[in-house]
Amino acid sequence: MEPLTQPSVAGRGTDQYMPGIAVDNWGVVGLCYYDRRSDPSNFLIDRRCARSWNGGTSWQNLYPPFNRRSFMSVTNQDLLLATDYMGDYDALASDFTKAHRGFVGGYGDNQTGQPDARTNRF
Amino acid sequence: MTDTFPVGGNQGRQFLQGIIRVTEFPSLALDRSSRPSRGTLYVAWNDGGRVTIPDFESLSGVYSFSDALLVKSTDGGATFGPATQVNRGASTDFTDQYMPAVGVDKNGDVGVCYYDRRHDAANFLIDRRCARSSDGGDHWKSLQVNERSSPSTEFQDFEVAYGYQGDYDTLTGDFLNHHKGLLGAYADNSLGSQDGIQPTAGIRRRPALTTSSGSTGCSAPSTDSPTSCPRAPATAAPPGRRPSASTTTWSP
Repeated sequence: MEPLTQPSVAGRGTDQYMPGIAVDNWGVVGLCYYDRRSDPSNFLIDRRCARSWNGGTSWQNLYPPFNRRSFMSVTNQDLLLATDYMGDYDALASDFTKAHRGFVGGYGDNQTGQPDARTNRF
Repeated sequence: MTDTFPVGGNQGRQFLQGIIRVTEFPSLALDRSSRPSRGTLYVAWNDGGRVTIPDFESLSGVYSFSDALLVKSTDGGATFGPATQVNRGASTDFTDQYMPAVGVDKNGDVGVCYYDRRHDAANFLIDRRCARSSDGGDHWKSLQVNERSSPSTEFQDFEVAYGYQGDYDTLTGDFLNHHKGLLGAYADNSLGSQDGIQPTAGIRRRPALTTSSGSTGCSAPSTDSPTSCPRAPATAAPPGRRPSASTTTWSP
């Protein structure tokens, strides 16, 4: 499968990873992912989302990021947790009953120095 | 000299939260001033004997919060006085203050700089704090010298020895006794990686934190009580504008 387009070219040279995707009752495609474009050294992480009204041909990026402050990776710092995990199962969801438009997603936020689960809606 | 107690939790070795491997890591300084205190020997170290909590992750069953302690000797090290807790204040009871580095300047003023988690009740985020005493360690004034709190970055680069933060951090005065004040270095993780910073822990009479960027930080409290410094947000540097390693001084 060939990607139709990137949600943004602004992040080239940095990581954008672990995307979650969904389609709402208006046919709008939503996409959320971790994003390091704000850090040229590619360490600090934000959570960004984008949406497309034409099946992914073009995207509207949502600004600013959903997190208030950029954060860094804190993987491997708790010996009781599985190592290297961040975002494997992050998902984006729309209303399955089609009663409401828009999206709700969950993601990991490390602003407090530890992984915290947060949600965002758009 | 005095009993010492391990800090952090035991996972085969002692680790502070964030997988920061730690022992007592003592730091030593000699007063070379021309003041009556000349010849006094100071030793600072990590100590976990004051506040502990149950910790099921620890092989010892407890986590011992680290304090920065200091002792001094006025007889060349033959005997030492009682230990002084540099990080005073209830806000430090259940957080770590660790890797203290001690130095003495030309006026005989003692400085101790250490990593400090007092601003985070969950004991994850780290600041750098420096304290000074003009009476041989009986009374302390301190202030935060970093701008943004940051968590540990251990285990993020497999080519870097893990568990290390601050083992060899030092604080030093002018060996020639030309200038007062102290100079130290520490690691700052606020950019997501470990960066070496060299602040000047200047020991002057009217402490007001300023940085090379001209921003005013905070005024030092009269004792080592909870800081009056505002917490700057840990925001990312705008693209192409990485903050430089700024010098930090207590300016008159």
